Amino acid sequence: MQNFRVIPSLLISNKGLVKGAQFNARRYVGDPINAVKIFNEKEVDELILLDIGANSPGGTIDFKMIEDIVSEAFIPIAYGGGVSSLHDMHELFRLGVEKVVLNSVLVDKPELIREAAEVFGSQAVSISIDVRKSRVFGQRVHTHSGTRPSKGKVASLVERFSELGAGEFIVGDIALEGQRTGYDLQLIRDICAVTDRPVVAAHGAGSLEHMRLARDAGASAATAGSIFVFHGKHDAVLITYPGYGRIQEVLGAV
Amino acid sequence: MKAIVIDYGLGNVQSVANMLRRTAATTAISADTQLIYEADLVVLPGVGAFDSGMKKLARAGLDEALRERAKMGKAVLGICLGMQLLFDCSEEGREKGLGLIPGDVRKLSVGDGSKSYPIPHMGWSEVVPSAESKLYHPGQNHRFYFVHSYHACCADESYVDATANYGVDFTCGVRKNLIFGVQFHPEKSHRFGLSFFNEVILQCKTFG
Repeated sequence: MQNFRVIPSLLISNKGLVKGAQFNARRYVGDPINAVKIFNEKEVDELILLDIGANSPGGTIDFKMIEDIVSEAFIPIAYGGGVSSLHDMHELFRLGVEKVVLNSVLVDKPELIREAAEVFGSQAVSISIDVRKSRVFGQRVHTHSGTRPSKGKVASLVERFSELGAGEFIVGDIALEGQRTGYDLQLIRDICAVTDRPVVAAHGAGSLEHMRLARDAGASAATAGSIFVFHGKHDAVLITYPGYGRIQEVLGAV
Repeated sequence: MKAIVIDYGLGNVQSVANMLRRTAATTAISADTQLIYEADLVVLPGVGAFDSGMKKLARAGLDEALRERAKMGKAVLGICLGMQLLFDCSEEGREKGLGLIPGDVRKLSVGDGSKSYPIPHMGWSEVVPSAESKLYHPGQNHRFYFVHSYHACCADESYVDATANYGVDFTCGVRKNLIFGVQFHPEKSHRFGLSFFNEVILQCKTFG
C-alpha cells in the first residue's frame, strides 16, 4: 500500500514566512516557527522549508533558525535554500532535517547529487525542478529562485539527475505558483515518464482534488502553500491542513 | 532511566533526542563508549549508507561497545540505518554488520517493478505489529514515516516484531530480547512515534 503525501511548503525570507505568486509578489504572512508548530499539531505528512533569502546572492543558511524550527517538529522536514556542499548537508541532517532540496547548485555542481547520495543516501536528496515556459525557448528548468534558465531539455536534466542519484523530484511550473488553478499535469506526466524516482507535484494547487489529479498523473506526493496558509475570500492568513480522514477520502491509499 | 543517542556522525541525532526528551527518559547525545555502555537504553539512529555507518561505528570503537551491551542483555534501539546495522550484512555494502540480530538487509524490490511504487519508499505507512509485539497499543492503527531503499530480513521469524506493506510485505520492526530495531522513523512520526518510544522505555524498565 502506498500513501500519497500531502506536503505544505513554506517559503522563508529574512526569518519571516512569506507567500508568493509566480515566484514574485511575496507577502509576509507570519512567523515560521509558529507555523511549523501548528503544522506539527495538525500532523502533516511532511514539510518543505525553502529559504529564498539563503538562496539569493550573498545569502547563507540560517542554521540557528532551522534548529529552532526543527526542534518544534516531530514530522519529516525537507530544507532548501543555499545548500551547496556536503558540509552544509551534514550540518542540516545533524539538526534533524530529513532531506535537502537542491536547485541552484546544480548548474555548476550536478556532481554534488552523486556525492550526497553516496554519503547520505539518495532518499535524502530532493531536487527542485522549477520550469518556466516561453515561446522562444520552450520549457526550461530555472534555478536561483526562478531567475536563471538552465541549458538542456527538462527531461534530459531529470534523467541525468536520476542517474546521479537524486531521491525525488519536486516539479512545477513557475507561472502557476499561487494561482490555485491546479498543477501542470502534463509536466508531471513528462517527468514521471523519464524517472522512476518519486515525483512531488508543486505550484498551483487550489484543492485536494488538484492533488488527486496529480496523483493520477503519476505523482507520489503533492506540495502546496496557499491552500494551507490562506483562508476565505479575502485570503486571511490562517494555517489549515485537512485531517488524515479527509485526505484518505480524496486521496485514499492506492 | 538514562537514554543515550549515539552520535557517530550519521543521522538525525537531534530529532531523536528531541523526541526522547518528551518521554520519561533522561536523554543525552554522546559518542563516549563508557556512557554508551552504561546507559539504560541506547538509540542508534542513522541516515546513509551501510558501509559508511559501520566504518564510522568501528572508527569510534562503538561497534564493540554495542556488542558488549548486547552480551549483557542491555537495551539497544536501532532506527532506520541503525536498525540495518544490527544485522549480519547488507546488499548495500561489503562491511560486516553488528550481528546482534541474525539475518541480512536486502534491497526493497516491488514484485512487478510497478511505477506506482517508486524506490526509495518515502512516506507514511501503516505498521502491523506481530501477535507477540509489546510496542504498539492493541486495537489501534499505527502510522509511521518511512524513508528507505533497503529492508531487513530476519533469519528467524520469531524476531519479526512488525511488518508493513509497500507493494510487498516487509519486516519493519525487529526484536530480540532488548535489542529493538525499526525501519521507520518514530522520531518523525508525531504521536505514533512518541507512543512507540514510551513503549520501548516501558519494556526496558520491565526487563532491563
